[in-house]
Amino acid sequence: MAKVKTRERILAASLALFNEEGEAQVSTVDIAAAIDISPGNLYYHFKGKEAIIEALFDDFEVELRQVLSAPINRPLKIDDNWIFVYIVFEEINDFRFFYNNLAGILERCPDLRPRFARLTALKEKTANAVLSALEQEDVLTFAKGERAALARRIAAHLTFWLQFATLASNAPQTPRQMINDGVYALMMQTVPYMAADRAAFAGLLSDYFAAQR
Amino acid sequence: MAKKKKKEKAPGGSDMARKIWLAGVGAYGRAFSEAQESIAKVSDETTRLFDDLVERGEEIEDAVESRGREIAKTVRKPSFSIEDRIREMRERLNRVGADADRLSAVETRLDAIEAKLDQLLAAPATTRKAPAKRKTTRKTTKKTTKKATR
Repeated sequence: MAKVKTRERILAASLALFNEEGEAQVSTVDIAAAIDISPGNLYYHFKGKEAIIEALFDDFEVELRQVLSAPINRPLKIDDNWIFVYIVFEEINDFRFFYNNLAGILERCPDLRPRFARLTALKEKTANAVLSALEQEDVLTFAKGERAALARRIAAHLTFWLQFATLASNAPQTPRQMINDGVYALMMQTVPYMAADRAAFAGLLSDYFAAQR
Repeated sequence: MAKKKKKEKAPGGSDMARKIWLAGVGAYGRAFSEAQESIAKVSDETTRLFDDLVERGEEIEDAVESRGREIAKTVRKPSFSIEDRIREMRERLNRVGADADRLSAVETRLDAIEAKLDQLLAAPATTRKAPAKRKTTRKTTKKTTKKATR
């Protein structure tokens, strides 16, 4: 159906433009122009930019929930865990316009606030599940309270990494670089809790991530 | 598979888990496809590979700066790339996640739909220029009420 198709095209173009230019810089007229439809036609599908953002959030939410739920439902293979971190970062990167302006967007779309809070809580729960699995295998070892604290730090890391990386660097970075650095920084946070082989693991990590640059 | 029992581990069991964890990262300094596939089986062959990889980790531990970087450079492209692994795992996660998370996804959707419905019911009819086509039910006037597009 042509109508469905137009809707999807609007969403795809919006996401690309938002991510590329920053959501604040893009108007609905820009979006309509990008896919060569009239502003009126766009308005027929979405009653404004907030409606588009909310529709994009719907998709993002479903996908991120799917990914984050996986290790809660069933532990991953040990060495899949760091690949999993990549996947979470990729998901977030696909939706980076949102993460780059969390406060601004949530203020304009207050309906998203509780939903985003739930997602953030799920990040923490997932981190806890992964850390528990690694603890059970004696890969990591935690004193009382440390695991929960680390899980919380990881959730914060996932939520603010993109913003931080953008602010911390003068030179523009490619998304790939940001993801890589983000995964590295997260993995390094687990090193102090390794039951053994700490130095070797830290060495392998910095070695691997240096090779990715 | 993360399948070892909690308490009564075989001696060296956790050591193996740690090796897998190390090797997982270490692997991408070199080609590692066979070991990846049989990782769960822990055959002699993979054990040997693990030792190899862990040994590499230890080497790097000794000389992270020079030797580690050097090795990493010479083996930039493992035959089983990280991108492949990410893609392959994504597919798996989507399958599993789709089933397990269907319920909460539906819940979330319902929340969203409900909120939108409230919004639509509350909002006054907006009048705006209608799109040129695909609105068979509209009047011929230029101003048309448009709501409930989904």
